Amino acid sequence: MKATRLLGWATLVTLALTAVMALVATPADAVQKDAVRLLYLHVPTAWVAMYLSFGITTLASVLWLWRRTRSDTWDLLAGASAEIGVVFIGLTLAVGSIWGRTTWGVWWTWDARLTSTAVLFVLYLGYLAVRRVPAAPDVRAKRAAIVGIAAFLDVPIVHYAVTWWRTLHQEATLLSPRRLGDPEIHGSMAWTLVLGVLAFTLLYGWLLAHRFRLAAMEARLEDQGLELAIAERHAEAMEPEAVAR
Amino acid sequence: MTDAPYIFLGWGVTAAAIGAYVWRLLQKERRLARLLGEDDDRA
Repeated sequence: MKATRLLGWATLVTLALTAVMALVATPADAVQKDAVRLLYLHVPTAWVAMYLSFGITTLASVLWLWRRTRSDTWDLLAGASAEIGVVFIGLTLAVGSIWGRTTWGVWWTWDARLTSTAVLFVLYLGYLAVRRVPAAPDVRAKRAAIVGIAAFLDVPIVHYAVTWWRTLHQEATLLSPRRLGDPEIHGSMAWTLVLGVLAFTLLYGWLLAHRFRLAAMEARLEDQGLELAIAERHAEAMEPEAVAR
Repeated sequence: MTDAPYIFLGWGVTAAAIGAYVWRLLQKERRLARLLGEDDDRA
């Protein structure tokens, strides 16, 4: 479709701009020096995973569970969005770990923010596993919707972990509750971070369009396979009658 | 720039992971579209 292709090009352009700004145009940080260049990846991937992907999965799950709005579309959308979320939360953990090694001196520490994010990763891996358990489509969709909503309860814990507990992880760069309207990041560094968030949001939209189309095609194939299996069973059941005659 | 290997690793891992995911997604989408007889001109 033309819209998806346009979105794809817009995504490529903004991602390329983000890379140039983050790696070449922005200055090094006064404290973290060049390691700050990982911020322009870490924050956008976390935004896409935690708030966008898992948020859409939760919303679609609620819409599926609510009888008035129940539609297979919500179930497919929830699954598609969760898969993208798992990829991006994995990247958030990986880039965070690399950033931790160069700033804290360790690849991993059992800090509240890191631990709750790792738990979120495992919870949504479990959600994807639940979707693969063979069952009738409605039963599978109901199980997945409940697990998807329950898993999202960890998102506010991840978000507030840095304020509720004493953590090694720094507070929010843009949306710290203590510095709303006066973030600790300024100028080209702030704009590059905003551009990165925009680029990854577009990437999420493009990925979701494709993953949703794939999910819809998988569902159609599953239906066709079911119909074929029923026809085969029907033919088998008719065979002894034909032999008896 | 002592942080260079880490910056390279972080950006490299991200680009490789997203690239691999996109490639796999498009391959699967094309295969199923062909199987179902749909047009395959959306990427």
